[in-house]
Amino acid sequence: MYHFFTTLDRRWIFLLMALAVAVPILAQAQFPEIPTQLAQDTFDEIERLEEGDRVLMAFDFDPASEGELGPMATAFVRHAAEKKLKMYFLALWPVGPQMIDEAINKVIRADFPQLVYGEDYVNLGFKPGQEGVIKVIITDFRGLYTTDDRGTNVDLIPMMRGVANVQAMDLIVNVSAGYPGTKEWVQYAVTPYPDKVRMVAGVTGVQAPLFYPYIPEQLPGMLGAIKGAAEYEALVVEKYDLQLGREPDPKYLDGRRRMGPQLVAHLLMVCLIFAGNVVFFMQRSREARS
Amino acid sequence: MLVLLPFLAATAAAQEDDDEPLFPLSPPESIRAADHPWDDGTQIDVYIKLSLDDVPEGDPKPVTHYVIRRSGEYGGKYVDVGLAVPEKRDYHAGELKFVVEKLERGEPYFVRVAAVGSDGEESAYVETTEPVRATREWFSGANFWMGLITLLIGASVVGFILLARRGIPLRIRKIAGLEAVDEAVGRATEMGRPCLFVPGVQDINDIQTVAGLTILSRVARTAAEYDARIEVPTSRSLVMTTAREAVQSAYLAAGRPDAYHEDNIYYVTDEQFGYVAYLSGHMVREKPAACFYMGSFFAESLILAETGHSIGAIQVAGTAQPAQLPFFVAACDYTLIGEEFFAASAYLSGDPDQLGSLKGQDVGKVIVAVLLLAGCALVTLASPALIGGSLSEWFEFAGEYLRDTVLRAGT
Amino acid sequence: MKRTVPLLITATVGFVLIISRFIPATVGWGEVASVWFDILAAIAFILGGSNLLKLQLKKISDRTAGWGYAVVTLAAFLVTLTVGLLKIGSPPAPDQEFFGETFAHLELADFPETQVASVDGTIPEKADGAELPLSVRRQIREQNGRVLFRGWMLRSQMRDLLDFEDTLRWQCTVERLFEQAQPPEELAPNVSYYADHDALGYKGFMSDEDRDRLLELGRENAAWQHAVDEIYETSRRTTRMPVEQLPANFQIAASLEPVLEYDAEHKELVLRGPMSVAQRNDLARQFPAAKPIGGEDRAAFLRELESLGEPLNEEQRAAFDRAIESVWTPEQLVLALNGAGAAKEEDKTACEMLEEMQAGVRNIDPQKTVGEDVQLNPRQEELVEQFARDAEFTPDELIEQMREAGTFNDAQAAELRRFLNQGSTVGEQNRTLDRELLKHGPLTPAQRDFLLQDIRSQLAWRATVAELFFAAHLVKYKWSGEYRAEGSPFWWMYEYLFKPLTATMFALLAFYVASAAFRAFRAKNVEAILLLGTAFIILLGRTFAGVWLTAWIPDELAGLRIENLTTYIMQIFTTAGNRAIMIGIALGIASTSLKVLLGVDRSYLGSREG
Repeated sequence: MYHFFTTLDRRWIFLLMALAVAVPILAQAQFPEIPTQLAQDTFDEIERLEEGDRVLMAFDFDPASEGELGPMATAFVRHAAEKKLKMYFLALWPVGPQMIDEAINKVIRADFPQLVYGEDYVNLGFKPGQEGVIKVIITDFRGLYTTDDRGTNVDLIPMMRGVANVQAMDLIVNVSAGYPGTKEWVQYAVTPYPDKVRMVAGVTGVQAPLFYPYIPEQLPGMLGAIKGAAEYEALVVEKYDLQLGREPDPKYLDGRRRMGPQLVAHLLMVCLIFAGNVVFFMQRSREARS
Repeated sequence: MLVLLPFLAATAAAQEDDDEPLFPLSPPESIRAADHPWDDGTQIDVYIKLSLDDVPEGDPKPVTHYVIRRSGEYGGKYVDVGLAVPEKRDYHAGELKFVVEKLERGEPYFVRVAAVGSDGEESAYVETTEPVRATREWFSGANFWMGLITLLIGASVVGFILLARRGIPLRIRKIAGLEAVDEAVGRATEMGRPCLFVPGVQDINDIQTVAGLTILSRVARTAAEYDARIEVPTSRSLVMTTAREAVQSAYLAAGRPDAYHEDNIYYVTDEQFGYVAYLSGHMVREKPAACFYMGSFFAESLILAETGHSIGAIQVAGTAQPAQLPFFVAACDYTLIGEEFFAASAYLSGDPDQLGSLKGQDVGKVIVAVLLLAGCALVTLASPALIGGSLSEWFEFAGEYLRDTVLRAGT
Repeated sequence: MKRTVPLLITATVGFVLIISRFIPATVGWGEVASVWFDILAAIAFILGGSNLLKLQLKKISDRTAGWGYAVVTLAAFLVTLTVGLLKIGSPPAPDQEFFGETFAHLELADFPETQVASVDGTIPEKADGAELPLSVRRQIREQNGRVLFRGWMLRSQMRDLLDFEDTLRWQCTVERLFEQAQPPEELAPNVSYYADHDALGYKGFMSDEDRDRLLELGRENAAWQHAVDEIYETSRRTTRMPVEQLPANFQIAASLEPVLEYDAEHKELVLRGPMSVAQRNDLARQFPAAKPIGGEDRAAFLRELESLGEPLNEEQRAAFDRAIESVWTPEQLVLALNGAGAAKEEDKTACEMLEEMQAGVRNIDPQKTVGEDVQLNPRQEELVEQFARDAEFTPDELIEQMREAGTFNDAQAAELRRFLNQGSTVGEQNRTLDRELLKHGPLTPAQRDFLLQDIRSQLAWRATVAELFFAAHLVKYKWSGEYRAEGSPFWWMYEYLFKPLTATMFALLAFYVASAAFRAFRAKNVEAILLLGTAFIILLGRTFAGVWLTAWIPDELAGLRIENLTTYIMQIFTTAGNRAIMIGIALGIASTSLKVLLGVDRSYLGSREG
């Protein structure tokens, strides 16, 4: 046994991990979520807006991180749609527009068909140039965005009237998987205009600790990884489904569903670290004896 | 600067014969509007002398806020531009300042202000009769402190570079990760296997990529001297071009221009995970003896480092992405952490110019530390329990000034 | 030289970006620099693509090991590029297409002189030198104290002009100009001119009278005559669409009457000219709106349903009533009609306000009340109630009877139609019924057929209408579609290759983290033990396991629960450590950037070596 562990082929660990993820998915294991203060703050930040307020939805992620960030993007869009906010979607990642399409199809087209493109939401699409884009549009939207994603002149889009730059937004909602993303939005949009620009973000688990220094001054709310998404979802569903006596649509509880495998995988990690240390101490005592 | 008259609405006078006065609330005593100093010409300041009815106490307060409206012409169509709620210190001064934003530079503006009561009832308005125009100044006053700090740090970097050029000796501590470069390349030579250099997944505009390429030029030179093969797959085409430049110069400097092969430095794909897939496959097939990961990395850090570990390569990593540092530290032999990574070029070249810049950076750290301590001290001293009285108020003011004015970047 | 020029460019751009932060007048320079970076970034794609091509071709021609994979890479690259660039399989974007409208090219200069509008006034000069909005700049000019506008002004153009200056005089000038710059009255609903596209547009089927009227506007103008003739030709195409079965009570709406007919002999719909979205909706709307029918009608419906199979059980009956009641209530309709009848607050025009201002009004109210309050009387409310419960009572009859019973204005009639159109049709309602009843018990196939027959014919009809709509449409911009439009080859590659592949690579992380944790996370010394403890807390605290494990801790000590410890560690310790690293990195970046800008450090270009 000792020998097995000291020379453990890592494929065994891979197999365990595969099981730890697959079994809860197949068994549809779900656990309750208790929202933390950060999720509550994020929720409140959107909740305090009023009908017709403008929200910039910056979706800076890709299919790779969709698993982690998709549910919060869905929840953000739904929350904004429920609040009847005007949504301006844009992306700094080349595959961001696909993520935007997905959110629009999944939430707006399916459940809020009364929202009109160009009046209630607009997809401004992808622009290359990373933080350079933010730097330009924070002072001049039309400096880079002369058309929306479909090629319509922005001056012909009703909801773009009076939007000279990002400072005209009442809130930025950024869903980010890396560079460019939350850090750049904080640095180039929020920090130079602290009184005009407010922002909340949803980020991957790896990035989350990096943004704690920005809370709450530059970043009043932040959702970290699936856990954050699940908590936020719980708040949105509570207010807009359960309190109204409706059964929530499962697509709005995706985060919670994905927390199931996470729980088991985390437990596996704890066990692995423990096992690794047992082997380590056994090794050390053997060495000491010899 | 303009001094303007308070003006009661004509409509108020017209209807005074009613039993009840039309405006139970008294209007602001007077208002004054002036260009906002040191801005980009899009703001004007409105100074509102508080209404006689406005007192800080009361529940509900008789005056909850003031509503400010502006127009492009006197007596024209006035539109709302915002609400102003007086704070403690405004009651002290008896005056409130409101900044009207998003104006057009040089255009005339007229302002009206009315007090609003708790029941939403508005007082008569007070207005300006002369136009006020927003002018643009040459410097953005809100950025004064930021400019000063930038200048200080920049000047100290330049200053120390000049000092170093004068021959003042500067010392730098040993950085194990950089010492390991020679060892790693040496081992690759012995084993007859290539070295792999990964300059991160960001473009050349990321300063980490630049720092990575600086190290590449050193690695390439060592490789040229040892006659080891070096491969640089990049995820950005501009990085490829720059890397070719760096490696070619290094081979030239080592006196082996003939050994340089352009095709060893090539572009793979911009797509993060496509790039990682290529690298992992390449590493497993080619089994490089030494792997260097120097640049900006994201989720791929652990995939690369674990693959490298599985093929038994010596691995040296360097990045300023704090989130990826733990992964590199766990799976690589040496890791350059944040600043060390940027210090590499100075360390490797031993050039006094570069060492001087490192010292300048330290001045920046001292500034940060001093500000940190000052801030902590002020906030602590401001607590009324500790000192109390006007002194404690002064500390509170100083603390707020430091936080809201000095350290808060403006527009 | 080869090194100096790039360094100079770097230094210039870098310093421009820095000073644009502090000197307001230079903000524009910073934007220009950023835009230039964008352009350069685009060139990088070409550079990368050509390098990829070169290397893969070399591998193939050298027959190096694994050259077959190079072929795959190359093929994938070229195929993706081709289908993406050429937008193969992507339909034109619906909102770029002006459905129901036909276009002909017409330069602004060729727009007939008879149609140039002019009003007294001047174009204001802006203190900051701002020019007129781009959308109108080509069309508007000032001459001898008059403002001239060439082309017919669109509403969006008027709004842009109104925003240009904040004075009532200018805004009134714009409003008057807008009124002037409209096509002759008889043509107004159909013609428009899009200066952006240099295109003359005409909605629907062009009659001979309209053609003559249009030609009259520019007698001597050959380009104009040509454009009108071209539209006349193309707008009169005939489209025929076979129809399996017309809906019961098929009616051709007023909007379609002149252009659509049904050819009973060939069983075809015959449409002349293109079809607009509104016309399409009118045509598709052939099915009665669902109502919360009551009394005998409801009982009869239930009897018919039950006669086709088993009687409904108790729960099904309850669900049946619930579903029928939930369509809408007469109270809702009354409320909507009263709302539509209420007097409206409308914005005053700038000219109206200017008049008030000149008359000495001190406090101009920008809004005015329009129309009178029309509320339903008790008799009318009764009619609404009857209408709701009676399946045979049609909206047209209702409107007629409402008018007889009291005041009922056009806005209310329109609201009535909107209210009914917005709700579900009988077919849709029966489909819901089918779904609800099935939840509470079985239905026989005959019963289901009975419930679903309406929706089936409704869907079939809609499909026919959609087909006719697209067949009658002439594509304006063939390439306006999305390269990633659903169903296109590019979309397919993205959805079924790219997405799963990248997600797989990212998911590998879970496996590597596990193996690295097993191998490297050892309690070698005190620091490592602290690190281990923290790791356990965070791992558990980020899932429900943490909550579950320490839920027993009393509330006074709630801070010790794992989920709270996690937050505490993240907010205090992690943040403190991160701040230190971030400050260090920020200073490192600042100093390295400065070195690059000043040209002190050129080793990344290799020039300091040796």
